[in-house]
Amino acid sequence: MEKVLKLTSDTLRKVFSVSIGSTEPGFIGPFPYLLLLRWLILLGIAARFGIHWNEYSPEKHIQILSLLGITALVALFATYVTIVPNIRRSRKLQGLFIGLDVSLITYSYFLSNNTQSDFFLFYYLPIFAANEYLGGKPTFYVFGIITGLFAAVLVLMLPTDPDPNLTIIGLLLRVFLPREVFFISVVVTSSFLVRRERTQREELSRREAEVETLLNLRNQNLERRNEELEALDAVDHVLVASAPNIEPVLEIILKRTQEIVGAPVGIVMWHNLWDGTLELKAQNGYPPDAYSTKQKMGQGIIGKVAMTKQPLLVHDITKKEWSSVYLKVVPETRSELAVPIVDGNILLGVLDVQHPKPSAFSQEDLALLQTFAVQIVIAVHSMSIYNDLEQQIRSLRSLSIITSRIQDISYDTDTVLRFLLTGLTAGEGIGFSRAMLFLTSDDGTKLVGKMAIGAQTREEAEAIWARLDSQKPNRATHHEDPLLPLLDESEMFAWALRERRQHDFPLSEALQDVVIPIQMSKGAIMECLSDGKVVIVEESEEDVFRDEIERVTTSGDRGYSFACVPLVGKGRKSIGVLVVDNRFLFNERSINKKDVNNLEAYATVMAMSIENSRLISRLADEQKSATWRDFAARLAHIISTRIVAIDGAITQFRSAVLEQADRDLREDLDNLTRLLSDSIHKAKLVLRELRQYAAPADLNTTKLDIKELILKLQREFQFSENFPIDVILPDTPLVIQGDTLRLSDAFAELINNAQQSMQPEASYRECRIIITATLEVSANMQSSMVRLEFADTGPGIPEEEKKHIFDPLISTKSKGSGLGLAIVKGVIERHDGMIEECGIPGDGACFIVRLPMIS
Amino acid sequence: MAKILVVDDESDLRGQLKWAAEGTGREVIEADNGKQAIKLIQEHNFDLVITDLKMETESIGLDVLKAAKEKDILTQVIVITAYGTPAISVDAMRLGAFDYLERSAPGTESLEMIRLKVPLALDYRNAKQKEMRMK
Repeated sequence: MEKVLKLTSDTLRKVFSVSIGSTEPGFIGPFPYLLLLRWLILLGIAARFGIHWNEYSPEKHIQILSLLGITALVALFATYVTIVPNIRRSRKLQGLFIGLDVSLITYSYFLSNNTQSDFFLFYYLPIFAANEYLGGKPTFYVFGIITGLFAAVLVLMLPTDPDPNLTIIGLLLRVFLPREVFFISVVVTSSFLVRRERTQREELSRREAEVETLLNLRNQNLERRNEELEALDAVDHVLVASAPNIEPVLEIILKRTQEIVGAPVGIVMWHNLWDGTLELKAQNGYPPDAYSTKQKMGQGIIGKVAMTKQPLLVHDITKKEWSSVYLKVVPETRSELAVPIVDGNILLGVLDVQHPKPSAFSQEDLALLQTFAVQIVIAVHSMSIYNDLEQQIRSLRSLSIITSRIQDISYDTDTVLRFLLTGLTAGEGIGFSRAMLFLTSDDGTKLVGKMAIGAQTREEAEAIWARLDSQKPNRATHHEDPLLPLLDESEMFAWALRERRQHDFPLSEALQDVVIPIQMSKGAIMECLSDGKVVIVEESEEDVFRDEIERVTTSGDRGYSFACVPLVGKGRKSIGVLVVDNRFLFNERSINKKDVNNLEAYATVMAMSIENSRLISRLADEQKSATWRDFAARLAHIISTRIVAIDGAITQFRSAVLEQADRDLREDLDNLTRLLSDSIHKAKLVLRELRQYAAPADLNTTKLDIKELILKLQREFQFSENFPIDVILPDTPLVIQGDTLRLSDAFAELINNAQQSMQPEASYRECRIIITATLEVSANMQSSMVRLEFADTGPGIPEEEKKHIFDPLISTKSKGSGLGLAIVKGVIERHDGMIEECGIPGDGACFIVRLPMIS
Repeated sequence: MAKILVVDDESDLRGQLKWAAEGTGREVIEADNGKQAIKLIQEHNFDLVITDLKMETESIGLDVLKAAKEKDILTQVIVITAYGTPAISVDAMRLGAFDYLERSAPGTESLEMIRLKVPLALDYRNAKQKEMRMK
């Protein structure tokens, strides 16, 4: 143990003697003072290296200083305790300095966490120690190089990033330069290094700050984007929920815009396309007394934006350049931002935000407002699409409501038509502003104004709409469908008109005087009638019909579009024309394809209603005639029975008379009874015809050849005192399905008629009857008819009587009941044939009978 | 003694028919509807029946005719038809009527015709009866 201690103290002694740089023991010389100086220099270096002033904190310094103190004390203790007995005072001082050296290095290490302290640790300390031992000897240099390389390797292996070149250079300098020169060079290099590092750090922190700012900015942007997206999303929700009203959408857009740009005041002004002013549509933070504000185009910031359709960002409204433009509404406002809401090229309105601070809005805010302006346009578009859809659904629904109402109760045609016109004009229906109905006259030559709903003038239109609008809430609450009360109203109106308690609309009254000759007319109406298609006349198009309407409506201005819709009845026959337009509407929308579909649907129902009512009245006529026929048949039967009784009575009477003894009396009575019998005979004839007409017996049809029938008739008529009958027949058989008996009766009646009509002229003109049978094939080759012509050379039928010859009880001949031709017509028609008279008065009568052939 | 049944729902016309049918050696019985006529036919043996076609139904006369022919094939029947029933007249003849007569047909005094046809019908019946006996 003692040996070990001794060896240690010897070694240490050697070490210290070397470190002082003197081989002479006990010599202190100037070295202790130089060592002190060195320590001070090292302290300075350590301070320069170790303390980054921006990282400095008193607590850290105190910590480190106390550590330093402890280290120094440990060194001192070690020096004195271990070496005291064997070294001199100067050596003790040297030990103190070495301890201080160590503590300094430790201190610098703790102060900084960087590479320079590593340099000290791994390089300086071994070198320092070696120098104490080997100073001045060649072995020292070898040791220094090896240690330096070792330190360099260590430094290079460290995870931190020291400057390896610098370390090696420093190392070599220390090996080859005298200690003091080295220290100075280290100080210089270090200060240079520190400065460099500091500038690098500064640069780095500056960059970091920059990045941070950028990041912040990006985050802010993201946040704003997020807000925008949220706002847009909210807008979408409102859009879906609030359809078809645009106001809630505008309100939510406005609210969100204000939130994002932080504006206390925001408004949306809407462009009134009618008078070109701007009206408040939505607001937030606007003074209540300014709610009704209307701004003209070009007036104020908003007006200017509206006129130029360019956004405007005003940083300070009090500046001179704005004084001529600005219109003070909100007194606190200093900065204002307004963007136009433009759809295509049409100004819809202006979105505007205001702030009491100057320069409150940025270009970004402007961009945001523009985004929202686009959103508003999209919203308007969605609304209009929705409205279109709604419109279509509504119009179909309105039609079904009307038709079900017509089916439930039987209304007269006028009321039905009024319902349909109401459906066409009501906002709850299709929503045209006016609907006018023209019907074709019976002879098909004219269009006659029938009825109209709508106004003649804009004032009238506005009055009507205002009235309807005021009733709207009422209507909505009381009924399932808002159209129903309107129909009730028009039913009442139609009733009042019928009872003459009320006047019709001026337009309707004026329209009823309109008569348009169809053949003369040109343009849309003609096109519509001839093609059976809806014809739309655009705003700018000239049209004859517009002129016609112009006279009726006296509205003055001419440019508007209208549609002509044909009412097509059975067999593509046109019954009339429906004309609709959007006159006086706030937004005079043009008439489009969808409207055409709706109009066609309405026109079909209209045509059906008109045809129906006509059919019903015809049926009523026929029913009347059937009742009459029935009555006539019964009457004929009863009278006939009585006549038979009289007839029988006469027979009985005659039989009694014949037994009379007095010859003269017998003859007189006989003559009298014959006269009676003649009258009875005539009465029977009339009754027979009446019954034939009134209660025709069922047809007993078979296939028959008309040719044979005619030839038979010709034979029958040959034998009596009749005029000759010429028959012209084709070679082919003319087979029809018919009742031989009835047809031959009918033809016989025609021949009889001819015979009788020629009787008075027999003395001075050649009398004959010509019967011509031909085959007629229809144009489309679908069906063929037998055409029979019964011509005579008699006086013919006078023009004025032609119309009535087939009417019952009108007879031009003195004989017969006058029912003959009526019966003939009945028989022919019951064979699905037709009969007409087309002779020339004076040249003879000519009856043409057509009967369908069997195909 | 020939037994004759006249059937008509019109009493005055029936009276006239009775007048036309009466004669020496004839007994005329009246019935005012088809049903009664059929009942009478089943109870009595008539040589001749003169019946209106249309009474309670459109063609009850045919039923009377059938009943008469069923009772005795030799019974002769004259059917008086109304206007516009040629088909029924044909039916009547097929069913074995002696004749038919359209009462309201113009140009004939129907009562006179019946008056003429009654003896003819009776003669015909007798002839037929003899013929049958011969067989």
